[in-house]
Amino acid sequence: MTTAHPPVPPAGGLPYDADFALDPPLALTQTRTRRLVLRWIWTSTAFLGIAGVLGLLLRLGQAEFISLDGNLWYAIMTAHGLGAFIAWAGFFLMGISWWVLFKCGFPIRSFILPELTYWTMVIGVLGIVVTTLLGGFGGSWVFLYPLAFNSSGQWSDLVTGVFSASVLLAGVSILAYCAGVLHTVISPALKAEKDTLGQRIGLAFGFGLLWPSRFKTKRGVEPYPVLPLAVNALDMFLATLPFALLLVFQIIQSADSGFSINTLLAGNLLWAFGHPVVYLLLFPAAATYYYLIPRYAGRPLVAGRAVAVSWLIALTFNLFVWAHHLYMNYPDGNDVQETLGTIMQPTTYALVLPSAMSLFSLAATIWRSDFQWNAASKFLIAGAISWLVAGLQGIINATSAFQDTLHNTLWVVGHFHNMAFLNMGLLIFGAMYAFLPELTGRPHFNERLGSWHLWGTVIGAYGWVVCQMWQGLDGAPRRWSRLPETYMDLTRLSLVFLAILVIAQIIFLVNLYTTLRRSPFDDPSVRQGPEVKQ
Amino acid sequence: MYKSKHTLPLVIIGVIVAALTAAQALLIDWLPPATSEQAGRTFTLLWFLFWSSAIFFVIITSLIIYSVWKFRAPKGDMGDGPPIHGNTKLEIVWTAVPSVLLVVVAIYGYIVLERNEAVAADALTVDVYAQQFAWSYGYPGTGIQTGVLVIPQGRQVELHVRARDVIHSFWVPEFGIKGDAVPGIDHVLWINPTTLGTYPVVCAELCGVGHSVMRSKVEVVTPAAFQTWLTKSKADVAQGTAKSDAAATAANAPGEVAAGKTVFEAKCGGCHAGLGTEAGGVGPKLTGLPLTLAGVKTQITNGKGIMPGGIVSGTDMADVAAYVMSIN
Repeated sequence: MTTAHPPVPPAGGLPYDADFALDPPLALTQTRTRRLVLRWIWTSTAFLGIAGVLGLLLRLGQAEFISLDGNLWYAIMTAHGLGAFIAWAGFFLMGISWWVLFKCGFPIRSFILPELTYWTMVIGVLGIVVTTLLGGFGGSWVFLYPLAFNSSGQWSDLVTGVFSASVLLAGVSILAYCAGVLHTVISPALKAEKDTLGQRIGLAFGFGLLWPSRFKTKRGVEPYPVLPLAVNALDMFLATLPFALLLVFQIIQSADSGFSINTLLAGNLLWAFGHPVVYLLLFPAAATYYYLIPRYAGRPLVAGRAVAVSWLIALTFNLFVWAHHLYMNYPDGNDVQETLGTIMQPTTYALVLPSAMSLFSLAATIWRSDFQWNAASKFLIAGAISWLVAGLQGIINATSAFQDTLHNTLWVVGHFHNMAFLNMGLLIFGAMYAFLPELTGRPHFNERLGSWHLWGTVIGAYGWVVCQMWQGLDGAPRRWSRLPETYMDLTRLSLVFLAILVIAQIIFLVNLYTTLRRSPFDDPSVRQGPEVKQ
Repeated sequence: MYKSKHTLPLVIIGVIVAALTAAQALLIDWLPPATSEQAGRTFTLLWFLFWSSAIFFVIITSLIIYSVWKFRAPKGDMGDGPPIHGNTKLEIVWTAVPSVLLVVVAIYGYIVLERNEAVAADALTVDVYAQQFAWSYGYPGTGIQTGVLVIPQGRQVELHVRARDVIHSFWVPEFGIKGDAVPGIDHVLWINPTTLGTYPVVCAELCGVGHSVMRSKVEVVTPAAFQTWLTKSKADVAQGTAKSDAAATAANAPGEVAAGKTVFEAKCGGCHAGLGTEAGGVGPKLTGLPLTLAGVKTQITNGKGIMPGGIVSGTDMADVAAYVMSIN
């Protein structure tokens, strides 16, 4: 269907916006990229629907409105966690980053890796759904070795093996994505004055901003959205490898019960991936903010060398903070514990800098601009403020002295829903409002319904998240199928907010359905998005 | 002129955002009561960090709200905003200010950690054992094994937390103390209890289907009451040992229902709801089942399905079996 439409003109005239209409081969790439990204969006949105329903069931079970006895609650929890975090938010942002790169003048150089990314993720997620909801695997997405092999008779070692293989496929998807992004970014599209590999790598990682006399580009301005995407791709490629090793160990143990590994080694292999994977969502989200906020403010991102420095800090420290998830595992007073406590806290704090720099830059970009108000930009602003809120919570979480109070409580669950749903989730909706018209060729969404969607989502999600954080601070552990009676009132109150959230998503789906049924954008009065003059 | 134009509305928005932030901080009772020295220090640090963060939140949020309202484009105006360029001084300031805050918090956090883990010379040592899905406590040198942790007020307690199967996590929210029980590791925790009372012990690390019912209790008693409890428990242990020596095993002796109910509550109540009389727990309701005394003892000893064997033994096992038969 999309081929019936003329190529959609790029929305902006930002310094790094490409004008592909002048280049027939690139117009063809544009059509193919558009189809790929659309397929990605529909698939990840379907995963959101499934994961959302599962999450609602979990809360209904805790509120004792429905009965989820025995292991079923934990199996649903495992499917929900992986489904919402990786299959929806992570997968969507991986997909949309191809479009952001394209809009910045970095067309996909080979579609093999993006297609591999897509299909390995889809098959992996299906395997996870089968092994959790049908096979009963309830060890959570972190599977807490050796719990996966001590199920108290709830699932078999074979199920653990198939589950591990399914997650491994999702890991292969991430590796393919990272390789694809690096291949796309470290490319002639950088237009390095001296087109060598070293120059390309330097420019892709922000050295053009730090050392402009050494790393020159004919583009004039280096596209800021490329920075977080390049950093994320390199870090996630490296971080996924130890996790893949742990999954291979689990597959071996599922076939040979005599094989086992050290519990702490397993924990380290897990968290070497388990922490950076947050950035698989956050950094493409940052790239999308970098692209879209200037589009609605009508001017380039207000940033400079500091933002480049902060991304280089992120590039380095992302890979060295995993052990802050293991504060509770190592014995206190032990040398390893002392070292962890001393090193991990400041390095984790350092990771606040890219978020802080990004938020300051976005705020400064809006200051004294002509900011366009529409559904997309409202979602982006709400998402950016939630980013600030979640980032400040992150500093609390990163303080090792708080682990005794906060670790593995519903506070943590509230925090990551704040970050994943109210920051990256709102950004995802904003990106859908912003990009779908140009991706589908259909006129813009109904703005009023978009506003209702926004307010319903913000009120519903914040109400629910605050209830969880309150429960967590008050002593409610996470991953409890049955909470003590003292938390019941808040659990049931959170369901009221979840109902508002669900209604808001139904409004969104109605809006989306109506939009897709409208005529293509041959009506000249229909805008694709605000144009920004050079 | 520039300042007078923007300052007042920015301040008004800032006051509103600050009031909302303060209201949600002050009107909600976020934390449990601090009943140990460690919790007192940690909670104070938490509030320090909250109020520091609130200042940043109010400034940045007010700036964004004001900007998107004040600098919105007129309807139908699709023109560009005025171009501006990077400001190095501004970048240095907005990098340095949060960095300084983080350094202050880091130093304060280290001080709290250091004090929370300072070891007292007269610390009482207690072994904590975690297994799917029960806690048990041992007092070294006394032979005492219990399902309820009893500790004296005002004296430091050194807990050695160990796991018998998978990873668990020992947590008493009111103490502000938590530590994972990892197979093969002796994890040491220190508590200085300050307030008398009974508090929940919970498992904070997913350990399987019975994770949410893996609960126990800690009783903080006066030093005198603790000494009395210790003396009585030692006597009970001696009596139990004598019984063992005298009659092959205490497990074969007739159990006492009342004593069995107490042990059942502490060690079995996590999985069997309503002291074994209600459905809905991890374990089944025990009333109305075709049970025999010998069968109950065998299952307690060997376990069955998700129920681990050996949670109770000796006299306790006989008492629990007697209690189970009484409700059956």
